Amino acid sequence: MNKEAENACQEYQTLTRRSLLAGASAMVATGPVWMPKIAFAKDGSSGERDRLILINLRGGSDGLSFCCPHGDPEYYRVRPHIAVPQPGAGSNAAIDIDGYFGFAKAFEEFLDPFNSKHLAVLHAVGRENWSFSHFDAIKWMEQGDAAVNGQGGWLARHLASVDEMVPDSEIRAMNLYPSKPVVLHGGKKVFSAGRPEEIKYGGYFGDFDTNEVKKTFLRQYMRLRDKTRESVRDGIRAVDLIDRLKLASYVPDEGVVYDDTDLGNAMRVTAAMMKADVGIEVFHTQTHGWDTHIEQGTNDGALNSKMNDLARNVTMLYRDLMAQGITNWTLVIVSEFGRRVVENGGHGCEHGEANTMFVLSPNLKSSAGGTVITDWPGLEDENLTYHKSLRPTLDDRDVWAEILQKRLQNPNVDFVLPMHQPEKHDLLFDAA
Amino acid sequence: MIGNYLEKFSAASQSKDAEPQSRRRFLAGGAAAALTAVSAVASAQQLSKGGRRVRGGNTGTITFQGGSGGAGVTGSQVGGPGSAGGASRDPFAQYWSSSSLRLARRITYGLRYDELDAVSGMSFDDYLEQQLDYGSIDDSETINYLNSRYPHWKADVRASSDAGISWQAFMDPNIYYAAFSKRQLHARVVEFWLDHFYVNEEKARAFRMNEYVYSRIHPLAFTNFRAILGAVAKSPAMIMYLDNEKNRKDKPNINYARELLELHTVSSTGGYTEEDINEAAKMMTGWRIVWESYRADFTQVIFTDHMHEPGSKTVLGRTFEGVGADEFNQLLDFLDSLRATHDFICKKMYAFFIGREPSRAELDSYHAVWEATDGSVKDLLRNVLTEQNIMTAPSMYKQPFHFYVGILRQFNLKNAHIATLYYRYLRESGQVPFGWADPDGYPQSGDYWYNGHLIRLQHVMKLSAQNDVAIKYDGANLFPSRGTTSEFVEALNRNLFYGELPVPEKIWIHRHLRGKSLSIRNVRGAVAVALGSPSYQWY
Repeated sequence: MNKEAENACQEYQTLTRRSLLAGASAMVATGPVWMPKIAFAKDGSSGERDRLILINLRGGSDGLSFCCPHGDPEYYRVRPHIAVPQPGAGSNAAIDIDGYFGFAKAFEEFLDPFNSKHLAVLHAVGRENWSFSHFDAIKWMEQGDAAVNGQGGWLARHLASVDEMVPDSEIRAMNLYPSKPVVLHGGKKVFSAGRPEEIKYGGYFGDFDTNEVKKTFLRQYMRLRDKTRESVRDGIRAVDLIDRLKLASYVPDEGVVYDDTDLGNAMRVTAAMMKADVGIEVFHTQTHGWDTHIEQGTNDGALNSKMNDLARNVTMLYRDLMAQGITNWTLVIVSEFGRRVVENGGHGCEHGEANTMFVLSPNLKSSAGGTVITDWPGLEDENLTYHKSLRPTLDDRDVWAEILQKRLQNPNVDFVLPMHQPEKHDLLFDAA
Repeated sequence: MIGNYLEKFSAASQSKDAEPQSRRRFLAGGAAAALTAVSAVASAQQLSKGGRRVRGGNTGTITFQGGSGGAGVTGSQVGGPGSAGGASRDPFAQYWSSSSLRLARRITYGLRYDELDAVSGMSFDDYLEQQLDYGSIDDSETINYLNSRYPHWKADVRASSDAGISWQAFMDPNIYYAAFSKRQLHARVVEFWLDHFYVNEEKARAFRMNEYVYSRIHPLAFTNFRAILGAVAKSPAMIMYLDNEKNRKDKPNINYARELLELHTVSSTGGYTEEDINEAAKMMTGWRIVWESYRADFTQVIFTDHMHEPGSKTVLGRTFEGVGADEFNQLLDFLDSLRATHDFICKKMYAFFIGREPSRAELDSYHAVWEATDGSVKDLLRNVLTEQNIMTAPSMYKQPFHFYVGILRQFNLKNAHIATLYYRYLRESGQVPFGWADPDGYPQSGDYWYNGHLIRLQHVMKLSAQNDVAIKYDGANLFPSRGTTSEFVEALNRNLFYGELPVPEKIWIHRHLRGKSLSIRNVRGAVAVALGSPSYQWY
């Protein structure tokens, strides 16, 4: 590692390091009004909790392109124009990963974590009778249940039902997007900014008493009783923290280069903030344009370049963190639904159901990492859903339940994901 | 100490209100009297069958004391300050006592200081009617400016394409019109329709969006739903955005058919199945964009018979004969006739202006109005924008667009590049017009937007500091430089808050100025405090 990078890393390491509080007492919720005031169970273990990095692909990503069943001739029959070519068939050929499934060429970068057993692909993940409406599907997925309306997002419930990873941290969840996603609604200490290093509060404005005005704002807003109060209070602390982090001068590990795309920048900032170890427990970002109704361009077009952007920058983050020996994290890539098995007349696909879920973590158990985990329903017509989509055989909430319990040290699964009894267990991680 | 201030300033404002010129009357007797007044207003309103709403008695300006939730209010609130709980008080309602000003808060992006007298001098009904009759509002200043600076803003798709219209040239008039047009209700209703019939600019492209926004939505916003639905359906922008371009016989693309039902008409609870979507898509086959550049109708939307799926189709129980081009019109006629469509549109309109869900009874009455007036937007607006609804509406948190446009408006920031500049602030706040990814448009609920509050405070400091030449405003009329602190605060109150600045906020401005002279520096600071006040973030 060159001197400059080393120094930069040192700087991040010397920023506040605090240890986890392992208390025995139950925590009483002091969350938003909709949260019942109950005592939450505490996880008995004193192990370190993973940071969660959630990447939401908006629009319904095509899981059958992400991880294609090249071993199934049916795949080529139903997608004559947009299937990922079989391994060995030309420059855009699928990269075989287990003899049946393969990565699209655009996901070549993912081979690095995959072959290191740090990436697992869950397939045919979804829920029965899902909605083909982006709006409804996102709401249900992010609220954690169809019936739970106006009660915030499940990730907010998670944050509310565990102790702060670092007591009195300024930010618990960093949302790298300017508006707050449903999954974090109701969450406290959630800071939202597409480019956090560009958010300034205060500064020199010429003949103007900035500090006086800021003081009045603070005092006035602390007297309020609505959500803008916490937004201002938490926002001020967050901006102050971010200012101290000097994100613009962050130097990643040698060989790590983030693209100057929205996702690339989000991954860069995530790396910087994680290395700074300041108590941020959740990172969230979202990217758009996955709603490929026409001219998907799986192999050499729009979808291809988006997938490339995703795989490159997520893998860069992976390398950046692993180089520093930072392993207490789990990264998940989801979308509100997959796309239909049969291509449409426009070389694209309609809204579908079951999809992939990518889980990237140094903590995957060795029998899970580097594999495709699925109860594969098949692509034959009789095995598809009524709407000719891939049939879901694994509920995404089962996956979240496992992550919550084993990696996020939160046993309160029935509070975070109400009205769901997980069916599948022990897919990804050993016991905590 | 605070107690003294409270006494002093609420006494001061009360005495001001006792002046004969005051347009406000306070109801004595608290909630009971307020409820009586509410029912009096309600019985005074008659729903019209074919024209204006009948006015019973002189409603004048009615004031209500107390918090949110008047008689007959049910349903969930959309992001109001008390929306998280049950019976929390709306913190602004008690101060926002003039009904015509309260209406202005909802139907404009903010009143300028020089509009205040005219508006508060009008009755609620007169003000509403004036804004509905938007054609007779002289908007020549704004229109002339737009015509000269953006000469292609009313161009058709071909001309926009030939002119190579940039996204900036397309985007700016939208911001400028909302900020400076006198036809404010029209601008708000245009915003409503653009969110409802949402199109993403990146996909549809500026030259199609230009025609869509300014030549379709703008002129039709106040007509009737079916006309708007039809204009949208045949627009190059929508046909492109939702892929009907690719919807052909034997190769259907159901994207537009899905969103037509889910987002534009009957909604996701409208009872349709995937089969209905497939059938609707078939009815829409053949409607495409002309790509052949040698044709006279190049860039237009046309129907091509050999691309159309023949045969009859059944959608939501109605069977349509396979007649070709007219099938799309028949489908739209049918959807426009459905109760589910009326309920959905009215619910959205109600939520947009009133900030909560209408009751079942209200929806029944709107359906009746729709039937009687063929979905007349103006008549629906009259029935949604009643004095009772406005005075009992929970406060709504300004979306970024609303907030920044309001600043442009109140401070009359008109320099040539202002729309471009404010586009940048909108991007930082996450609400670039036509920049939302999904077809459902920007969310209304404050839950998505509260996190950007600090960005607003930063902006008001920048603006008030007047250090940036790009956002210099003329403060001479807004903030007189002579006089006492009280006079200055009253000027702030009047010119930025319509004279209804909440007492606690008034106190904070006074506190900020305590012991300070009214130097330029201190005046700027006080303006920042005023603009950062909670009530400035809500409407």
